[in-house]
Amino acid sequence: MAFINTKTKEVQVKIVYVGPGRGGKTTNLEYIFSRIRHRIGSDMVSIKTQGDRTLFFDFLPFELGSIKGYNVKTQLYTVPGQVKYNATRKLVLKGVDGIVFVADSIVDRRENNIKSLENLKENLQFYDIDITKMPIVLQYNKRDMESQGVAILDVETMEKDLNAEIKAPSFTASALKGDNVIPTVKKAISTTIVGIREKLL
Amino acid sequence: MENKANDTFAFDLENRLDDFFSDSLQAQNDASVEESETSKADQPLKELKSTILAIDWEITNDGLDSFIKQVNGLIEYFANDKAKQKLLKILFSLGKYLRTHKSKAHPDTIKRIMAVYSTLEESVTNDELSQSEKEKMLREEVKQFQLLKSKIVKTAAPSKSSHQPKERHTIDTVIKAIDELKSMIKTELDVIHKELKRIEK
Repeated sequence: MAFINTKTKEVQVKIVYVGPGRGGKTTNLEYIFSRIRHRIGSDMVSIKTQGDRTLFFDFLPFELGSIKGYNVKTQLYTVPGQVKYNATRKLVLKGVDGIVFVADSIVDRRENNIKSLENLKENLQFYDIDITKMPIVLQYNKRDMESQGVAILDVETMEKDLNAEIKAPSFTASALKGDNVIPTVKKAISTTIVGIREKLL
Repeated sequence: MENKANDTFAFDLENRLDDFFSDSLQAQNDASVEESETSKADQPLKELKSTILAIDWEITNDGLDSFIKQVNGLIEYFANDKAKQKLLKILFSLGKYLRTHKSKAHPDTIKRIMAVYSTLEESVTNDELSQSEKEKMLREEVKQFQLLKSKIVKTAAPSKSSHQPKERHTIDTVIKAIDELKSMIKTELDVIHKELKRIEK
């Protein structure tokens, strides 16, 4: 649920990058950070566990500026893709306003994408959120792998696997090269904020 | 009237997003020019980190082959740095062991790989570390590696004896795994609380 303060005219939205492990969620955030670091007053935070120092989640907060008199603050999160960290994923999804699902285009990862989306649905259900009603953007990442001779899934297959039910805007991308990373985040932010505009107007 | 307000809102939002993300390309280019030698080494390290997280999620032959290949590449890259080479050789040994025993490997193996990787990353990226600090970190990793080796030898030995100790060992392993899970969840929650408090401040 977006935090809206009508007195201070402040809006805070939380967008979480989810998807299978090693799909490129952190790479997305790192690229975004590299593009905006000169204009934001905050840093990208990577939180790690103390014991084995496993990457826990990444957090990138920034202020978009004023829209309709409201100062819009955005928080981007990633969660670990590893199956065993579901408790963390569930926790980070609490209060989520928008989602970017980063799918891996490599053929071998097809099953992982589907499982990860199923896991997302279950975790959202835990908070009584219906995925079809949640602002969500799909990103079919690692399209550049094809040029390296790696077999990748065609977009139609990925749409059928992942987007048949939710019918969300989708982008092909290469987070490593930065291709379509910014359009993805822009779409995610706009879809999310448009979703709460009734409360602002 | 309402439609008009919505249209203006969407228009303002798109403009704000375009402004926010548009002029950042130059800054990115400037930043990349300033990249130090450290960040040049960052890329192969990031790839290795990504591979380790993938192995942590699912132990596959491909993942382990990539891991060993990437470690070998870094051994060549850091040919003139004995401390880093030593850390990489530990990673190589652990990778080989994991490649042979896969899911039957000692449960602490991946944790150890992550810990050694973190030390390597710290020694590559943290310019403020003195040589003695780096050596101290290396000694600790060597000690922990030796400890794990002795644990592996101990676990392997009783399995050759009667069935009863084997069953006992299985129960102990399950209890240990549950304890580790409890401890991991507690640690994760503690870190989240601390970080949230710090971010709130």
